[in-house]
Amino acid sequence: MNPNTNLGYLFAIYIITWAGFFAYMFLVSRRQRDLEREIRQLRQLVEQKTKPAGNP
Amino acid sequence: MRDVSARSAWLVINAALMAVSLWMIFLWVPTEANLGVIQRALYFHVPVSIIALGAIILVAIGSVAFLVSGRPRWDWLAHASAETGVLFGGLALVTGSIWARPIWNVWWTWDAKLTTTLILWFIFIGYLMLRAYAPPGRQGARLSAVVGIIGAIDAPIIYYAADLWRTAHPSRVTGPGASGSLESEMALTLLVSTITIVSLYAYVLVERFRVRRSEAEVAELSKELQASGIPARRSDGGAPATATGGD
Repeated sequence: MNPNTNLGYLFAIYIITWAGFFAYMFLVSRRQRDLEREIRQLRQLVEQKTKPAGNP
Repeated sequence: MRDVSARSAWLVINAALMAVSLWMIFLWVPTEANLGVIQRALYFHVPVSIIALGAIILVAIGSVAFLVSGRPRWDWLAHASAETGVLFGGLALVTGSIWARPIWNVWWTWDAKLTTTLILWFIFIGYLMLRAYAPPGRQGARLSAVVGIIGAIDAPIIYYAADLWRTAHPSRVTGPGASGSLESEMALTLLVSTITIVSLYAYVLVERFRVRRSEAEVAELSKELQASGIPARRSDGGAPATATGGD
């Protein structure tokens, strides 16, 4: 058998494995970034609300 | 800050491990005489399959610990592991299917090992669907925990499927009770590849856990704001966040 037979299948396995992994990692990182921004905004709102009236 | 630099260091280690394992897989390890170059799929397919099994076991451990202790962290771990399990279970099925095509001449066959792995993937999907549609809070988390624990029964069945039934799938070449064997260079390449993919999996699992923890924090802050009379709008302009932080 030619050792390079089925090289296309191996390439597909390699691409799908890494593409799937990095796509998921990208989505998780983006979600975390959005949540961190949301937490900062919510904390600011909470601080504003809990600040006594009349204080600058 | 320390957390960020530790994660950056982990990413650098992962990149180095990836470079080493790719060099070993494509340049160093000899080509298998009978199967040819497609046998190198083993170094991707086996590690992702091991992780898919490990993920459901981690779901079960997190679920049991949550039911016993009631601490949300265990539930977050189970949830994060189920989601990463979908990814790695899916990769195990897809890479196995592509490998099967040139060797068995079919993309799919209802072989015991393949079928039980497909069932595992549906268990992960079912777990996540339950998380999405069950009542928010502890009740939904408890229901999901039960599904996670029952789902883990599939792990030993997959592991021993080739021993329990006559299957087209080759016998295990590694792990307890393995009947197959590998040449030393192939075994070393498989070990390095497994360490690399386990490290990447652990990184993603930690990231997903952090997302779950942040979601809980958003829910807590929203609850605090709602209690003080301000409807907390989500930053993406969506509906007010609901208070589910304690689940």
